[in-house]
Amino acid sequence: MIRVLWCEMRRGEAGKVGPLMGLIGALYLLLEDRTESDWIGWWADTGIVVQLFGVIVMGSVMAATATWTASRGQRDRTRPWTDTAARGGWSQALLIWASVWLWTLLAYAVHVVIAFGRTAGVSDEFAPVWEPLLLGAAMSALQIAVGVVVGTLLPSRLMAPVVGAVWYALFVAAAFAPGSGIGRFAPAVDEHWAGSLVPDTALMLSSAAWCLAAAVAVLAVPALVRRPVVSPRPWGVVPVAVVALLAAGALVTLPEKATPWAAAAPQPEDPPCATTGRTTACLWPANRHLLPRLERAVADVDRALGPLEGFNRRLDEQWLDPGPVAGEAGEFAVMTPDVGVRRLSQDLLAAAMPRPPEGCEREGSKAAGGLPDDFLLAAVVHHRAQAPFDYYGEEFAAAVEKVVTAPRAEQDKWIGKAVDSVRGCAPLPGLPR
Amino acid sequence: MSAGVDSVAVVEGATVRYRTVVALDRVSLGFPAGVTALLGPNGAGKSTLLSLLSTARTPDEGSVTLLGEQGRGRARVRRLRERIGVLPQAFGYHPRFTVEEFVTYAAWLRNVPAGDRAGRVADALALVDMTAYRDRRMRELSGGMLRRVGIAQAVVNQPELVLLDEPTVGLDPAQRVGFRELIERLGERSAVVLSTHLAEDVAHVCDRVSVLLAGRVRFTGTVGELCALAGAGKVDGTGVEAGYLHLAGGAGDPEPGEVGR
Repeated sequence: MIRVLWCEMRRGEAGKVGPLMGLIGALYLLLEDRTESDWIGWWADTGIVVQLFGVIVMGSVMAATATWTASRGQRDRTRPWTDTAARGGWSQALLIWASVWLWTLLAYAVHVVIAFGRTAGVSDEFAPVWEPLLLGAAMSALQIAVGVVVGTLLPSRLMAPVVGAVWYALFVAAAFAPGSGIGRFAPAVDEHWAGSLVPDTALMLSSAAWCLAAAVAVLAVPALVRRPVVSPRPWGVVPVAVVALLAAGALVTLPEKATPWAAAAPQPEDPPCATTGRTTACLWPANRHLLPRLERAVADVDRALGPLEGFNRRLDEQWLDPGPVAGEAGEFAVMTPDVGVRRLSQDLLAAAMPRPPEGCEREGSKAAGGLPDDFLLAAVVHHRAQAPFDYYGEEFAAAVEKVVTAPRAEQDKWIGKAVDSVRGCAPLPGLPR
Repeated sequence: MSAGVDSVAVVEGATVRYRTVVALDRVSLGFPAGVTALLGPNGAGKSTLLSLLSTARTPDEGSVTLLGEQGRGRARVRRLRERIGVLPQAFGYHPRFTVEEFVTYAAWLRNVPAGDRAGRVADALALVDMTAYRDRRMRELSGGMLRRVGIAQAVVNQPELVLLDEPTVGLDPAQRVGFRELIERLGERSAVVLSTHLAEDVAHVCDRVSVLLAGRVRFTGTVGELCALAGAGKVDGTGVEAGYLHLAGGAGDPEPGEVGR
């Protein structure tokens, strides 16, 4: 079997397409800019990215390849003697499927090594998240199996691109219809988990089991349909079909947690935090590698806010529960695992801004050029901290200028009143003269 | 000869229909050890009869007994197929495989045990004198070589029944002579059913011959008996042609060396 499989791998089309997809995927992962990346540094997101490419791009192409290879019986006119072979149609389909899937897994493994290597270069820990990778491998198995079935039953040259395109379109459709349930049966996880989400393991394992069992079961279809071919043994097909049905049942009944594929991560007992002066910021443990940068960013923010009152001095990464804290707490998001100090400082400063009470609708003010006037407060604070802020037009800029050119004490006074106004859902005080 | 007790394969009262066309009409034939020719024009039902013998299909009426078993049921069909070799008329191959890989693949398809596979492949290639070409890609082979590989894949499981559908079509005279020798060698170890419309092949390699015309058996006996039908004194291609034409009775003018186009 191994020798025949190896021969099939060497001589089948997947032997060319698999390495090509491996190369394309490798370039995709290697050319990602680390400083802009939304996954390099986060183990879970690294797994998700590899899985997503493996399923949507590589899986679709390899399914098309499988369709082409499976239709060779018609193309090469071998059916008259392969159909009368003692080896049944299921075995023949499994052989082609295995040869294409193994190439896919080889390319997939290369992608995993590259992506994990890049993440290891940023993250302080080695904490791979395997569930998305397993799911991607299982899904590609199902994609390829469907390709083999279509190629065997409809052996036309047209079917290969059709199969690839249909798989791709299905993932697009699933993305546009997140509640439809398609995604659970044709999983292509396109989520960002950062540190605040963890895989919904039961759901992902059920989906992986569905994909693998459905793949193996569906490969029996041509042998059941095509008469001259020896049909599969019932005790071979039935258990696999039962596993597929059980997994499908689980997919239908399992409830959605925080996202379609993830659950909320447990709150860490001892999150990495940095404190300077009165300002403290904390991260999810997955971002522990950012702690030195966080310390510098917190110092920047504390220096910018100085003695000003009313700002959020306790800053936590999104979804991180600070528990009972003295004063107001702010929330910031880390969008890239390799975020720089400057960007982190800006995000912390934005998080430190006072928030209006819930239900308060901030209206545009003339002083702020028609924009909500808490924008003006934020712009003034950013200006004082020499942090960039969005430009909202000349009138807005003139208002900012008016505050920041006032004497320092007058500025502080205006800022203090503005903070109270925002928190009290009241209009900002008039600009300093 | 009808269903004989010594036959490796026995077809009794077999009728096969393709929609409204009757391809085989109550055919009863037995195939003993040695080489048996199925002679007849295109459309006579030779390939359909071979499809019954290869278990690719079952008759609409009648029965087929192969190697002592009737070919119904998945397990029985699989077991029978392990003991049968088939070379179809349009022999297809995977062009990128090497000769050895291709025959190994055929051995796998025919359930040759993994431990025996390499040896059986080597034996099959040796039988058809293709050992020297075992690393050659299939697409690089000549028509005659491809036919030899076709035989190799058909015999790699050391079958007791070998079905050859027009194996010498398209070969040049020298290749055809070599092929006849090969079929004779096969006939010494297996029952061979050779479907052909080449009278020369029948005369040179076959022990027995059955003539099919319009889905019916018109003659079955030794090659000598067929030649004798038309009063031919010699057992050769001309004698076979004459015997055949005697049976066909105005079925058309054959091309030289062929019968019943």
